[in-house]
Amino acid sequence: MTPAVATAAIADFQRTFAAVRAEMARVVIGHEEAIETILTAFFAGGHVLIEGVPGIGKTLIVRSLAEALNLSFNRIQFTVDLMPADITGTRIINESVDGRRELVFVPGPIFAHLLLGDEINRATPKTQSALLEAMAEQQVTVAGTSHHLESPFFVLATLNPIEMEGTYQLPEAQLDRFLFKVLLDYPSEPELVRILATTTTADPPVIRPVLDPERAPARAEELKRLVREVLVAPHVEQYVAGLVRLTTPAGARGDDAAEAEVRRYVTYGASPRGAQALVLGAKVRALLDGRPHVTYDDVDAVAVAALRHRLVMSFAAEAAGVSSASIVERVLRAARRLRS
Amino acid sequence: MPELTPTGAVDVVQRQVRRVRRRKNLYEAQRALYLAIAAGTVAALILLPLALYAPTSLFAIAAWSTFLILAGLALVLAATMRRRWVASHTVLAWIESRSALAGRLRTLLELAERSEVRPGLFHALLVAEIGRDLDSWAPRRLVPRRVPRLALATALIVTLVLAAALRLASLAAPAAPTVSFADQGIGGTRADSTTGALMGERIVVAPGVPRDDHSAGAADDDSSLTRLPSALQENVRQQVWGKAWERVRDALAHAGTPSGTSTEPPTEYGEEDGADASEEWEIARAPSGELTRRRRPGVAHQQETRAESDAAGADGNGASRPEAGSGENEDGENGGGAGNSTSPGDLFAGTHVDTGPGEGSFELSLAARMRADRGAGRRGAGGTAPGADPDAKPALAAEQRRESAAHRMTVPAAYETVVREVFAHRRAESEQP
Repeated sequence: MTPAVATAAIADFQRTFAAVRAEMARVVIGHEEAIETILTAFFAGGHVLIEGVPGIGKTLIVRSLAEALNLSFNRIQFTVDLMPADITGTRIINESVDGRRELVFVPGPIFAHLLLGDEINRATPKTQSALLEAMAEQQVTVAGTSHHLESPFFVLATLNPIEMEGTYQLPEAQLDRFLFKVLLDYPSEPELVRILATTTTADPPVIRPVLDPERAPARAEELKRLVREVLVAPHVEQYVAGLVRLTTPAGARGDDAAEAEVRRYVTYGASPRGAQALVLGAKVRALLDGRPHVTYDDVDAVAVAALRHRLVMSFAAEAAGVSSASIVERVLRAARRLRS
Repeated sequence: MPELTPTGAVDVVQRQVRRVRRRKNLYEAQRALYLAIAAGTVAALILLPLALYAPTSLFAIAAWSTFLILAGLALVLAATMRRRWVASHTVLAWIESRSALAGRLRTLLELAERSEVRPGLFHALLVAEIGRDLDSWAPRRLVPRRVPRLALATALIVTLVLAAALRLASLAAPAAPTVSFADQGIGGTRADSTTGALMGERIVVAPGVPRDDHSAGAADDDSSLTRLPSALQENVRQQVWGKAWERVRDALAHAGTPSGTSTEPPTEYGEEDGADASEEWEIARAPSGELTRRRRPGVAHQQETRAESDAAGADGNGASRPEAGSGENEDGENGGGAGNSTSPGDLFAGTHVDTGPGEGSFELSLAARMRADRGAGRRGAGGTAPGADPDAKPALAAEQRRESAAHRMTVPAAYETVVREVFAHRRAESEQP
């Protein structure tokens, strides 16, 4: 690829990203940073866990994203009696016209480009684990038969931080499969005014698809491949590795205050998936900045979103009210010495 | 700037990186060198006047202090240079921190070292961007000057100032002291009955000779570290003043006051008269033709010539001539019983009108050291002092006669007679027949 073509590809990526973001912003008031993070995760090929109180636009964000990208969208409301087959699909006996009966696989709602798992922590671990294979392998196995999920496959799961009774904490293995975790906070007063103005009228705003309907999945995959082509120098990889190591009690052995806090408040640190998430997210950031290579700042920009849900905090942290995000931020400051 | 090709880009970039690093480190090395020279020169500028004119103890303190400060400065310079030195593994980061490359350079070169990585989609773009920015991190752009001008100018200026100071110092070389040796005692009496020290045997005149002193502690401590400052000071004087300093040193050594030990005026004089170090000292001239020979022929000749000229102008005050060989060995050196023949007439620098505040009196500082027994002996006609008796038994002198210095001093004409009376050579009463 010549430099001109590469430059054009980067510009195309930037345009598409900006267009999707702009379309979503017509419907979703506020949450600009969350939308950017979600889009970053989408183009990086990961999944997003969204945490926020009810009624602040979690579902709206996902639906808007699907409409803007012109991709198929399904929603699963997780409840305590939801079964795995309700997600993945099941085989049913189908009688053909000639009277023969055969088991036919009926795909579940997971077979979509964009899947919203609403209040995922209300389902049982068994049902939650049904998502594991799909998120990691992009396939589901039903009755010994694996069914591939069409690309792009993007899961957005929401967590309701209140009404914790009757919920099942997501296992660490499942949390680790989310590229980013996004926190949605209450909108500010001006944003709330705008929400009222746009959602209570007779003509609510409508999202115009950015991608061509026929070519949308392929186009999305093309953009995702472009992200993977972004160059990452060894010194940046070294920085990412050091950063992830610093989030683990075993790796944070220095005298720095941040490392002391990691030893005190973190039981388990980020996994290698966390490092992968950092690099992939940084690649998207680099493209958005028009660069064919990743810098330290790109890594730092996605570090909190990529690492906050991967830290298993100790009881001391809960007692002291120390959040994982604050630990990541302090580790980021301490990791500046790793920049060579 | 020629366009880089992906295949040859790494070599081009690596060459430029090496050039940048070489230029930067050369600049830093020069800077450190010039600053070190400047610091050392400033230290020399501070120490030079102290080495030439200050007592050894003061110079030692200054020298050690300067050495410590210089050592600290050297450490600071070394640490600064280490911080600013661009190592091979940090040169890429240094270049990128000073240019708008945003990590492109490091990415290209580091990925080039990974042979297993295929050139990616964006490799060509990265190379093109670096080629476009090649001039933005050229050596002359990142290190604009080959020479650190400020440091160089500082070093040059202080070096020139030091050269000028050395020149001035060499021009201000001290005059060689005049050392006279008298061969007869002043009346053969003890000048100080309390100490028993004979005075007036040898009188030293040493105009402008810098004083050296040794504290008691320093004298006791004879380690090489203690001797180092004095050796340095001696060396500086030797280098700056050369022959002139050698003459001063030799003259003082011959006079029994070796340089570096004590060329100070006698204590009682300094205390009584409040003399300072810059006051000129001079030997009272010996009677005509009675100077003893010196160790160094040149000096002896000089002294004798002076003594003879003084004698030619003497007023015939009746100062007795010493007998040949008195107190002097065959080598012409003064023996332990060297006598004196100092005439009070020679003590007068000249007759002048007193300009002091009191008309009826003047301060006779010389009296402190030049005592004589009152009422002894008879003066000659005209009030001239009687001639001093030759030392009849020089070998039986009670002790080594001390070398001591005395002033020539100015005496008002009205007091001349009185002074002559006071300083007249008389035979002690006990010695009078």
